[in-house]
Amino acid sequence: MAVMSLFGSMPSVPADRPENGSPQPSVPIFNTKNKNTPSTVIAKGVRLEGDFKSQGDVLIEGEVVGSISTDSLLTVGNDALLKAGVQASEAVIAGRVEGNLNITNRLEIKGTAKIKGDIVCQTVVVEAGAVLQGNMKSGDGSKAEDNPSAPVSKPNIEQKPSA
Amino acid sequence: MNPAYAYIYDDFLVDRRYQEILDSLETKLAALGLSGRIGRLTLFRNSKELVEDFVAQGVKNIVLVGNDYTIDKVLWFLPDLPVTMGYIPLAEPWGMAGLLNIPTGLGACDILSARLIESLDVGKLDDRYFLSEIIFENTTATLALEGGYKVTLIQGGVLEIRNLGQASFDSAKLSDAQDGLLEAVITPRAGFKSGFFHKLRPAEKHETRIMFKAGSILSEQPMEGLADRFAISGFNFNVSVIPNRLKVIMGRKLAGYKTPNAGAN
Repeated sequence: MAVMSLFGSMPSVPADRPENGSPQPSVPIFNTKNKNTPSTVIAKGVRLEGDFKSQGDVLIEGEVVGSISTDSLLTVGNDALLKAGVQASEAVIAGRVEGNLNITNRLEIKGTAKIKGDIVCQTVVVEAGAVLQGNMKSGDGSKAEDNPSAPVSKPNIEQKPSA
Repeated sequence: MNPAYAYIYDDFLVDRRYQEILDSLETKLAALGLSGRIGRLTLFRNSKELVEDFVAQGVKNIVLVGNDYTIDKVLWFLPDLPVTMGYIPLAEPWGMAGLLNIPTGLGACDILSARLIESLDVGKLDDRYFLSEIIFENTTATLALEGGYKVTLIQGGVLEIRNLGQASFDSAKLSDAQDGLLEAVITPRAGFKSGFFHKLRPAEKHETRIMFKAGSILSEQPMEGLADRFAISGFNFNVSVIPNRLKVIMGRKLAGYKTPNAGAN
């Protein structure tokens, strides 16, 4: 790696010239407040490959290949493409997912979603228009995942009219 | 004279137009009981030797007088020394002052006097420290991060690795330099999605943001960028964060800072 200093650092004007012996009060020049946003964002135009783990909220608008895991909320946007296994506390899916979803609590599937894979969750909300291919376990039935011989329970699906 | 303080004047301050404000500065520091030794950076003087001499004489606070470039001139070794850094920005560029909540000009003396000291994380790019951020303006680099995953810009764009935040442009974007993490911010190349209304959407909508501790920036094409305000070039870089490495006298607590017992019952 080559490291060199940038020249042309000659400044323009002194910060606050004292006028009549009394310097002008000066103030910080930037507002530095943080925004309340998801801790991880994968935006459109970006591909994430591999096993990704997070403890905060995750928003996916781009592509993910591999697996994704979070202890918090996972949001998959309209144009997102996940070829990945998903593990999350809660999830809102509006894009394409090819892989199994294991959601500890609430799963919301938007009308634009296309999911190809098995779903395990506690509660599920499905908008009209969503495309689902795979098995689904929800409610108490989702806890039977450790016992492969257990029968698949009837999904506990709240139908929600599409917006 | 306060033997715990030393002031490092940047070389551009020899210009006559700064004489008046330097006189005022020294008068104000004397009134506050903060006047100390003065060292001047010059083209052929090793800044590290200058600061190390002060430290050997018992100086505990190194106050940089100048602009953001003055910080760059000492940051490559300062985190290795047992000193607290102060900053008196007298000329542009002074974006770092905004990140550190330090007023520009003589107002910075009051910050020194208040002595709110924070330990900040320092980023490391290969063997070089950086405080604010690294930026690659136009790259298709891949970010390989700890934990075994990679992030790739499909069609290229801007890659930033922020520690304290972005001070390079018109406005500051603050990251938390006390969380032991770096923040990767990736903005795909403009025009990735066409359409007039698309361009009116806030840029944040298209930013990828990932927090990490260590990783590598990999590219098949040579990359050119800036680490703080130093130009860097190469194909591969290792990036990491060193928590609580640099003590800084700041204006007020960072926005992302939480006291250790905050929220505890």
